Amino acid sequence: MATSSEDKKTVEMNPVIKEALERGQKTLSEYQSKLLLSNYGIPVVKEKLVNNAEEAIEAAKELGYPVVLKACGAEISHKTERGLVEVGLKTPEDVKEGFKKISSNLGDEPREGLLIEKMVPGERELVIGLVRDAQFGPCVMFGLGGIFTEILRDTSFRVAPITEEDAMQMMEEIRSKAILGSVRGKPPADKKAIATALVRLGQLGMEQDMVAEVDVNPFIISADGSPVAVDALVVLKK
Amino acid sequence: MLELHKVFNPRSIAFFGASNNPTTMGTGELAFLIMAGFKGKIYPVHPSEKKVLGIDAYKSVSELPEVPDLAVMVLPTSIVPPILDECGRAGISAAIVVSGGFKEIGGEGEKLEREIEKIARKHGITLIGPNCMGVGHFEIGLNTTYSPYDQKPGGVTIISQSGTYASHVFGYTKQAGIGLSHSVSVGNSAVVDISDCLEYFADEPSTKAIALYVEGINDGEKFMRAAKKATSKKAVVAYYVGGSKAGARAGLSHTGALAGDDAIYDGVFRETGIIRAYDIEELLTWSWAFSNQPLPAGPRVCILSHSGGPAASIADRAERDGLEVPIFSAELQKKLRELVPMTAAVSNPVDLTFYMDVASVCEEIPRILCSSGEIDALVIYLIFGSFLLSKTKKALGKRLDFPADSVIPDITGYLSKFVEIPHDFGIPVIASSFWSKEDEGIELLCENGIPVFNAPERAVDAVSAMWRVSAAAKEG
Repeated sequence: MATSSEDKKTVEMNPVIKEALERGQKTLSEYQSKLLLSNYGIPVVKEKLVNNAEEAIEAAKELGYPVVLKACGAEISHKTERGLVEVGLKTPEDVKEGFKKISSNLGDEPREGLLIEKMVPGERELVIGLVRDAQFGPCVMFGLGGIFTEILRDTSFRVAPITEEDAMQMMEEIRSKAILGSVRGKPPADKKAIATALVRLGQLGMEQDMVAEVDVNPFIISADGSPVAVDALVVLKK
Repeated sequence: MLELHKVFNPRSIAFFGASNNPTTMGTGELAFLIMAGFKGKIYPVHPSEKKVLGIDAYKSVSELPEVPDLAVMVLPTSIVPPILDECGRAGISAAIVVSGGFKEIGGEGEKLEREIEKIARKHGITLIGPNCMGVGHFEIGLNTTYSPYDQKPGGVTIISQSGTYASHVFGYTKQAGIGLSHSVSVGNSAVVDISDCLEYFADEPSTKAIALYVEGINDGEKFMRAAKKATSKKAVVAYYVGGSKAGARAGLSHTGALAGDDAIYDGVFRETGIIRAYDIEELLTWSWAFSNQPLPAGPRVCILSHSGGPAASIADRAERDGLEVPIFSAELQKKLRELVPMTAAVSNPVDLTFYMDVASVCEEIPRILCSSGEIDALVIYLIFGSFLLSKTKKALGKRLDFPADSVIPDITGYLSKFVEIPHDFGIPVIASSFWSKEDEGIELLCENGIPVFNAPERAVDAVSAMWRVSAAAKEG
């Protein structure tokens, strides 16, 4: 990889970030976070922001069942613990019921809306992330995701920008790297696609100075081996 | 423009802070400099003494007969700035400030450090320190540290943010037989930091491997640039401490919580091709192996031993370390079988048991192994010298008097051919022994570039580090 300053192209602030800063947000909502990621070509789950049960049912039809419904807003966190996520919704009735439950748990807390997304089948959860180090600048992380992220702390870091080879090496460095192979009859993870996502996350870090941290967790290996961001959080600089 | 060449290759040194009081640090450092056999001129500067340690002393910089290449200061903190300024005005362009009491104590010290940095920059002085142990370049008898270096120079250069790891470790390197090329303690790094040193030693020809002790890096980009340059030319091993508190930074994200300094530095080392060591012994012994052995072309280790215990330990450690201990082909086993006693094992590990035919052990067997095409590294645990026979003779005394010459072989000839093996075959040979220098063969091996480690596992760890560098280079 190259670290010389010529590589830092001056890029305009991404409109998603600009808008969030104007609104005084400290973090991007899940929807905005994924919008930013997909602006950088990182694969995210198909989803839609909806405001009522009818819109949700309409969107579910478009996305295809089963779906997941989540509360979405810049200030909303700990969604699972607070009953703000409903997974495995298989019918319009499920969606309607789910919408009602989340809305009631949310009360009158400010929100962007509810996020409805296609449920991604896949048992292998990874995490990719970005952090800004005081000495080394933006650093990209790859590791084991889901609930194991902070239990096993099985991660690898690189200073951005990174190359595809760097990204490939990162995948070799985690203890549980076997998870990327063909496990229990499942196809191997698409390492090239994961590498591309890591390279682009590094690029995001290099170009978007106002981004302090990024979490993409889980970054799920879907049934065909391709990775997809199912949840994401972008923390903005103070 | 830094002039590190002048720091490490001065023709003359002005020495401030040595006197005729043997208990001061300054006097000790000058004593060790003299003892190291420094060939250049030494000018002690002292306000009242006519001679310091028998050398003509000068009252001040202005009285010196020439502009020396280097100034070394072991002075009270408060007089460092005016004297450094005086040196600068006199045209001295390289200085080592050993004195402490600067940034490391905060407050007033921090101010003083900014002051000396300003003075150095104003006069263009390449300044090492303050609060450091100074430097060593052992081939030319340069040693400004408070530790004597009295062993042969070698190919390992130490760059350290700790003074002790660039000086007291001479006690360790001497015992182990690790030859050093240079040593530099950067102290507070007011002007010269570890990245500058890395950059310099990347191109310095007598440095074959670099041992880096790191506690923190201020300019990440500069470090990465220097590190990449250095690792493209020679092996760099780093021992980093200060980051074991994983997740020290508070963050809203998982990534932030996981990005402790240790994890980031780990990434930095991997990205720049630096091999990370986890203790001072690994740092020094791995650097030693890198400094005088070819890199293994693959992960296949051959174990050659006089004993089953060490052979088993080596095999176990090799596999844990990501190396392989392949079973030899029938053809190779047959060749070996013809040479060894029936008690021996030849499938790998090659366990010779009690077999003391020096010609066979040091010559024939290793050469058969290295030319087999079945191994990438040779790790050995052997009795090298004939000291056990000498001890037998001593133990027997008059009970069984025998002329030493008839039974105790001269191993020098065999071992001098043995040390050629790594170069003849391009295969690293790393040895281990519990006997240290009692075995007269060991010193000979160490002096001729075969590292002999004090424990068999340590030898394998070094091979593993070498294989990691080799494998990374292959990946490009």
